[in-house]
Amino acid sequence: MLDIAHNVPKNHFEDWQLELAAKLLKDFDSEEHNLLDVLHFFQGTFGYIDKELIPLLAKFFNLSRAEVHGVISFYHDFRDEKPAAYVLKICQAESCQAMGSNKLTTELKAALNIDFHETSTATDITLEPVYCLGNCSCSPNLMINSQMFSRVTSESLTQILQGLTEEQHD
Amino acid sequence: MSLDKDIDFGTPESKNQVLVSLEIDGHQVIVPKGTSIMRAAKQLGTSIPKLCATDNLEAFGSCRLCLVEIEGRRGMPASCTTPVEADMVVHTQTDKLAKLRKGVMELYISDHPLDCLTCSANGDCELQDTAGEVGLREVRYGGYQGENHLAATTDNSNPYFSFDASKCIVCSRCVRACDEVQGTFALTISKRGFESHVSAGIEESFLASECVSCGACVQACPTATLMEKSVIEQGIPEHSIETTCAYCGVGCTFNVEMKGEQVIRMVPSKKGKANDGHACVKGRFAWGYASHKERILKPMLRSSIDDPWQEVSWDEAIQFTAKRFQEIQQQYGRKAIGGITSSRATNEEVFVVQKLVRTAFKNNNVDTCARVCHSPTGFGLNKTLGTSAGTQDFASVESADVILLIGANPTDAHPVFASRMKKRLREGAQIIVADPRRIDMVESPHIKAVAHLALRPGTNVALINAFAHTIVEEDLVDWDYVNQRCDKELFEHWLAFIKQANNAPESVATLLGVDAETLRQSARLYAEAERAAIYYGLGVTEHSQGSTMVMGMANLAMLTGNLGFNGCGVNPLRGQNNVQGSCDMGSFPHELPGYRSVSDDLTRQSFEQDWGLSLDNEPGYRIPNMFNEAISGTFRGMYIQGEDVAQSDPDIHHVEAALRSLDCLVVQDLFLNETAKYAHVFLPGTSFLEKNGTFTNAERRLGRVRPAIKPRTGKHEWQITMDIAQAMGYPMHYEHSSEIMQEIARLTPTFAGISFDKLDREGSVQWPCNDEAPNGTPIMHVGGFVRGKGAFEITEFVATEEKVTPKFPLLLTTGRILSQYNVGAQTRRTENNVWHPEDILEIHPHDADERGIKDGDLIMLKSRKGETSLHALISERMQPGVVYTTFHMPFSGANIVTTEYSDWATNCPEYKVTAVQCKLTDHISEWQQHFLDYQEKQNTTNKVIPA
Ligand code: SF4
Ligand code: SF4
Ligand code: SF4
Ligand code: FES
Ligand code: FES
Repeated sequence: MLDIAHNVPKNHFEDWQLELAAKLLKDFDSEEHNLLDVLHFFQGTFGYIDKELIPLLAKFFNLSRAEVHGVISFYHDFRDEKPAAYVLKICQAESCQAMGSNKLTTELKAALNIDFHETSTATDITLEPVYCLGNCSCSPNLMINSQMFSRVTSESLTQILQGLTEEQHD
Repeated sequence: MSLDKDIDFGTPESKNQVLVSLEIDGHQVIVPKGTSIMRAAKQLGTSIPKLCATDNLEAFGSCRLCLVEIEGRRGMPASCTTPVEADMVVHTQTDKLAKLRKGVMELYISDHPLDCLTCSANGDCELQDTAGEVGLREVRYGGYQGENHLAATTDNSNPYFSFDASKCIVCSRCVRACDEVQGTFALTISKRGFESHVSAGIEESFLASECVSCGACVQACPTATLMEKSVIEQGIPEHSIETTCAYCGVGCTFNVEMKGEQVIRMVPSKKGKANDGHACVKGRFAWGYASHKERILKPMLRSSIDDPWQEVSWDEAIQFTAKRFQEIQQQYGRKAIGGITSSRATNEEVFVVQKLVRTAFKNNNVDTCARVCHSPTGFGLNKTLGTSAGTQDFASVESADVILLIGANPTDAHPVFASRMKKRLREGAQIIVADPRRIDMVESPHIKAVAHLALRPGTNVALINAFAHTIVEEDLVDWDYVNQRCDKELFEHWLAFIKQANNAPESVATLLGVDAETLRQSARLYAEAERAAIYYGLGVTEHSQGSTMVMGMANLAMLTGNLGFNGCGVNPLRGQNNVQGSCDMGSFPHELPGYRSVSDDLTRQSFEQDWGLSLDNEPGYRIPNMFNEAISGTFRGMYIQGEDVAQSDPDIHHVEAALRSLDCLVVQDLFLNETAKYAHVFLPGTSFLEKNGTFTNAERRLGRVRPAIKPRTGKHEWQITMDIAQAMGYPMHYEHSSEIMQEIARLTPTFAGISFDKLDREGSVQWPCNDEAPNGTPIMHVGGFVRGKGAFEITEFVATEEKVTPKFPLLLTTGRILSQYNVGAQTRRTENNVWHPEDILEIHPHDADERGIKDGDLIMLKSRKGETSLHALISERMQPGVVYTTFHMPFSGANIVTTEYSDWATNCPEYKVTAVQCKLTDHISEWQQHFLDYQEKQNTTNKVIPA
């Protein structure tokens, strides 16, 4: 009897992606300390670290599945799901906080109906916290993919979100 | 009787020779350098509160409960991670510390369900104890309101233990136990901070993960998070009895923890020198068969094997047996009856069976199931070194630099030893694996063999000769050692043989399927290592050249000076718990206890004097002879102690025919096994939980088996044998099994110093144990060989008769898996079946492709001997041309397919090489159909008629 759900996410990966990953791996040295480099590289290549990659990585580095999973889940940098079309990072560091990013974050979470590190499928937005975007003089800041939005207010936030939805429906 | 708990010193023992003196709470203590303050304190009897530390794991320093104050140092360091220093002055209890600890404890408890009274660990929980120790009385954080983990779910997927995440304090002891002790790395701490939690695999269930269910994490867990289901269901045990595992040849020491007469759990004991507090899924969890409903508890008779069984009294069963045996002897002569001893029985039980045969039966027709596994070990090591046993203790592997593993799969067959070996490999030792399959020791998390010599089955001897040839040719011989310790003449003779060009790696590379340079490199690595050890298993012995190979390995070890020291040796990994013991006890047609020939007058006389009658000086029948003579009608009665020859022996058709021709077959076992289908008398045996005696493991270690409960059958097995002897007119009498051990010690020089008293005192002892070695002998041949000078034996490679042909183009080799044990009589009757419900056929993708075979297809496996159907598993572990299966399930009939070929010296069957063909099929084989029909029929005839 199984009480716990197998929450290994469904296989998003297709066979060709796995084959590609296996091929790309060959260029790396299988010393354990290279694991982080490879993870960054795969995240760059595929946008996230699919669960299907874990057994492959485990075998390559002579580690267990659990160990590789442990490393991936320890770092917030690594995503274990396909990212949404938009990654919205809202700054949580001191200067932005002082300028009301807490309130904005609450509003944002409510508007998208998600928490940090989650994806709203309706809008295809993933929400992430970030700690200083290096633009403190124009706080509060948020960034969507690589575009910066500064001096954000509740009103401009609504507009930004609206813009994103419209863009999608175009 | 009380519950015997190992003391937890918090951190591992330091092996450092230098001693350090310090003061803890005003008391002086002297400990080895490298000891933690925590351990030093415990040595004084002072417990420092702790949660993340336990003494079989490296200190981790995460819980911050074990803080202490050290005079002259700032801050409060963790005592588990701080080593002692000379003249340190430590305080473990101050007001400041008490406050801090209380604060830390409060944080833990605030996120913990406060249902201690109804918790399965109530009374056996370190969190509870520690909360008490730090004097926690109130929790300010109101855990139930704040963010907490109380709703986390429970994973019940493992049949033996559950994981209740709501009780987890994330101390990571389980993760570290899986890594450091077991070496499987199945667990991790996933995420970080408040979100951190234990994850099996990639957030999988325990059952689906890499977990092998050894139970180390359950034992390490300080809370009820990981807990045996038997404890959850039946409560905390109140007393315990120390005993020895009855499964494999590792011989782990356990505490049987009980509640009244009920066994609650088996916990491996840190006092056990063979296992050091570790266990595997079989010994730790698979003991439920002892109370399985199919167990037979009353003696039974029937006059023909087609009749139903009739329950009778012990007296009637014994009189019937004695009378039948005597009638057979009157009609067909003294030699028409015999017996087989069991490697699962205790030394005492085996000893009396061979004594029964030699006294009451008046012949030497006694053999043992070791015939079908390690008889070549006894023969080969005796011939070359002078003792029929492995040369080291298990701990020796901790000093090996290079390990040569041949034909053994320890992670499945000897799991606890495998964990020890893996630990050594993680410390940097190197391993060469010679095995047709890519077993876990070749490649698994943190283990990588320097070479995998994937040789063709049946070519071991050519391999070992190529090693020796290389070492001689490249002058890597340890000349001093050979000159001083080995027989010169034999060596010269051997040297001329091994130098022959046909032994060169280049000559045998094609035959082996391993390239010459790899062979040479491996030979060099072995020869040049400071300490090189050979470990081997049935992949060596179960061949037509099994004995030759054993001698070849002994030659190699002598050649390189790798015998007589720690970290070296030639080490058989013996299969059954007491296979070493059953051989030691004289279960051979040609040898009396202690491997002494029946034709040696002096030895015989000593037994004759003690036993009060004269003994036959001619060897009796081996098992294969018994079967042949049975078929030809001259051998007609057999007493089989706990062995299922009708499943385990090769060429089953032949075995069945033999058993069918007997006038009287007496089977003594726990269950109506396959052999019992042909029996006339069934004598119910006892499980290890009921036995009182000794087992001898693969390192010659005698451990006590102590009765946790009374014999459920009303009789100890030695009493049954004794009663038969008496009924046949031989006055055998013992009041207690310890008297049998006294007799063994009296008559066998290597056991002279052994007694139950000594074992109870010492825990366990490795033979030889006598006046010269009163505390036993961990390592043999120190300073010189038992036989005098080491004997190099010629080991000419002779290919087996069993060859692939166009009709049978594949080679079948057989083996074992972790969760099942041998013929499975016990493990099949436990929940271990979740891991292995049936035997399957492993086949290389290439061979599968050629035959259109896909994963899960039903395959007909056919040899010239017979055929059977199995489901296929396509596996890259196999090499092309070789298929593999296990023989745990009677219905698989793996031994329908194996052949009559056997080792030239000892008749050990050639299980490891059979030429076969595989093809897709849609039906089971005729034999299997017959098996089912017969089973059906027996279910009717087996209907036991109560007394
Ligand atoms: S039972 Fe053994 S293998 Fe399984 S997770 Fe626990 S320690 Fe690891
Ligand atoms: S399961 Fe037990 S041992 Fe593992 S982290 Fe939780 S409390 Fe510690
Ligand atoms: S089966 Fe072997 S390894 Fe497992 S617990 Fe028993 S003796 Fe130890
Ligand atoms: S604090 Fe937000 S950008 Fe620097
Ligand atoms: S026991 Fe020392 S920090 Fe946990």
